Amino acid sequence: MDFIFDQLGLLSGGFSVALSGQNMAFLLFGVAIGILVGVLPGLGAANGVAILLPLTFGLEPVTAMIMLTATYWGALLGGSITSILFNIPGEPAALPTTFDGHPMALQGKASEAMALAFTSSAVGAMIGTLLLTFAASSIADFGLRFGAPEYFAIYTLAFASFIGMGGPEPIKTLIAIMIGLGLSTIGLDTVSGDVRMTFGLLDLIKGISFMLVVIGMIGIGELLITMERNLELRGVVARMDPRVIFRTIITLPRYWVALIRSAAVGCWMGVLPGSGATIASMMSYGFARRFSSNREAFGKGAREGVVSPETADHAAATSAMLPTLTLGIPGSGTAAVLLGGLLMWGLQPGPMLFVSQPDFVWGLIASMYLGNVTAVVVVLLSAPLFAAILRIPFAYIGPVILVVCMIGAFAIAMSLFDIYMTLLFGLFGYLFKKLDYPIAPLVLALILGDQAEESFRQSMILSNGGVGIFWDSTLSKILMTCSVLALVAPIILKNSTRITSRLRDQN
Amino acid sequence: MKFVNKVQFCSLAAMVAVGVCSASTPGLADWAPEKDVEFVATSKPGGGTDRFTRAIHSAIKNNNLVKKDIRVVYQGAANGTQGLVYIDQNAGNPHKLAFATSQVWMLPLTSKLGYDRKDLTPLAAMAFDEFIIWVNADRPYDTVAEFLEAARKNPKGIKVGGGKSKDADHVFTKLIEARAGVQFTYVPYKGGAEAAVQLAGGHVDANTNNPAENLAQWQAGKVVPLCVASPTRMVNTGVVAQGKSWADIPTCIESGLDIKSFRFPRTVFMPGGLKDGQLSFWQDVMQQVVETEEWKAYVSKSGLTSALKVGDEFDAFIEDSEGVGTQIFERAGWLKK
Repeated sequence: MDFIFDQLGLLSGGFSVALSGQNMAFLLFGVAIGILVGVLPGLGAANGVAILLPLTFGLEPVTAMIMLTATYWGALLGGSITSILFNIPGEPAALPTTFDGHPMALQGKASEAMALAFTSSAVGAMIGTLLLTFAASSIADFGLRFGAPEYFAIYTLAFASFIGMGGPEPIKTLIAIMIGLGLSTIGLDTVSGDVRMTFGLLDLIKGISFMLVVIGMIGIGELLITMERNLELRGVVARMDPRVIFRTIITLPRYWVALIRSAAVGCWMGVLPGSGATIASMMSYGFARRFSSNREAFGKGAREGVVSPETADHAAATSAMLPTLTLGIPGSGTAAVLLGGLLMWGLQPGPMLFVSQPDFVWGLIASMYLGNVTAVVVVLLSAPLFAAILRIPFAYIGPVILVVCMIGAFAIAMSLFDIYMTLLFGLFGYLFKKLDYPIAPLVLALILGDQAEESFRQSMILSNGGVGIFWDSTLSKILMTCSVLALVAPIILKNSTRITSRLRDQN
Repeated sequence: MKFVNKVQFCSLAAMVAVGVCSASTPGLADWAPEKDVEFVATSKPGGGTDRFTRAIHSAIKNNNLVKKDIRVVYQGAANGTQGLVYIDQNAGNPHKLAFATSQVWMLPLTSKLGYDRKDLTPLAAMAFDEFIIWVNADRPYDTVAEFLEAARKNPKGIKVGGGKSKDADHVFTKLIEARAGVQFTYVPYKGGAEAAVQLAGGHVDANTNNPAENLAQWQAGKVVPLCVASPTRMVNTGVVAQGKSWADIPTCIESGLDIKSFRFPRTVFMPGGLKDGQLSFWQDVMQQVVETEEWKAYVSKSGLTSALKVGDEFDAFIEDSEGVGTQIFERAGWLKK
């Protein structure tokens, strides 16, 4: 009990930080920007935050972080608006929301679908934040146990789970990871102190920032695809009726099984490095369909089909902050961008952060409660307005997005070279999408690749070349075993379901 | 307190604006900054260079030594080479200062980097940062003699963590090996901050961090200082951790390890091609900085020795240090081909 009261004491200190007028103002601003970013199909939460990040360096770190995380929550909610009204995921994580949300909208139940999506998001976010509140301090102590082999084990787990769960074609995920790893070797190597893979280009000594790749491959790549499709956004007109919203909210407890299951999936995916909200919402939709009593209704406007992915995606987004803050390992793509921000503000994420910067950490956690509630209220009020934006022709919005991307790319290191790189990555992003290669594993490999290599080589120095070091401590043993399981379990599961269904067919 | 990354959008606006209105600069001194100034920390946030940059920044701000706004930016990629290349590319710009260590002339000895240190203008060496041998508090040795004895019994068995490869920590480790006739296994981490956490967690046995880099872990009782590689003990007698002060740490000489002095300077560099009066303006500012309360507090809390060197004195110091570095690197086989 003492432990719970300790945490609550720290949290109430955090609320006094988060509730300052300035922080609340930036929180509201972040939510509004986030919803806008989420609504626009070309901009996901990850690059919305990446583009805003350089603009926040004049702020106090806690204020900046509150604004950026609020942008994240807003973007996830905004993504659902586009999914439901236009059948286009405004945000990668909102993809499964299109499956049942849009059919509901077509049946004239758009405001009901949106109310369901937003409120179940709030439930997921609250559960994720509660996990962060009560698990953070113990994980922080635990963080000291991470040496080079343990870090390498955790990076291996991240890569393995990406390959294991990465969509229908694991080989493409593997290729994407390899490209990312290759890019991450560019620049000065910490272990040897030598410059590698720069081909004599001075601009490459600093390495390739993953932000360039995110802005280029995801932002510009998506723009190119949209241009090619000559996308006409034709949506359903939404009117938010307060009575419908209220009636929808009181029916929510009926879905408690789906809520709890989805929140659990979300938290698990969030805490696990390198998976994040998109995988969480996809998995949660899959589970909901598999375990539902009326499986037939799925795809035709099943309410559970909206509730499940939305709960999971917010639970994942919030709980992804747990490994980010305590271990310095991002639990999702957006968390990785936020991690970059923390480092630039001089906050070393990791076990010591909770000891050295309690005001920052607890202020941020408190803001996550406030931010998610605020975001849901704002999005309920403004959904019709944001939906109207989508009626502006793409010809006007597209160039604005492109300019915003370019400013973001230049701002990272104030280098013109980086703009060319971003455009180049935009082309790669287009190709990746055309050929159906996943981009997230590439970005993940670029972020973690150089740390994974470093921790591997540090381990080799420590062990004098013996790979047995990865099975030395209990911690790395567990992590390494999990990595192997993450890699092979989906294959075995897939085969076993195929075998059982074949057996069933034969009978 | 205003720390900004490389770019802040108003700076773009400011550049445009200055182009229009720079003619109106009053002629009190020979020269004074005409627009916002950028302090480039050639490190990632959190390490010793970061603290050094921010200490000077707050000394200047709080005492209003420079009339224009100053932003601290981080350009720490590639062991700080990013920041030095950036300064090199800004030749003739008196509004950009790089905060660094001896890495400016040491790193180019071992790898081909994107700048020539002779193209930069050395502004000042401000202070010396000491090197301390720290060990994990749970290890069975808590004196230099016991530590070296353990190393002698177990060649390459003692793991020493440090920041970067072929840089100061690595060189210091090599020096201990040479003087004590022992062999360690050196493990390079990104920087002192990481080496500090790894030592606190017991993943390495020792490290060679600067005083301030390991202070938090010393206060937490996770690490113990053995000796400081300085001719005399550090001067600050105020209690900092575990009921002890910096002055309580013995020198390596009095502990029986024959290293009289190993320390590196905290330096400030500017782009090349400056006009008359621009360098002297900043030299003047730095001379005022070392007199401020902020600077004195920083120096004493971080266990630094304040030692301002500007002009010829600093140039001669670089020449000397470069010569010593060349010798050590040649012996280790690290010299760039």
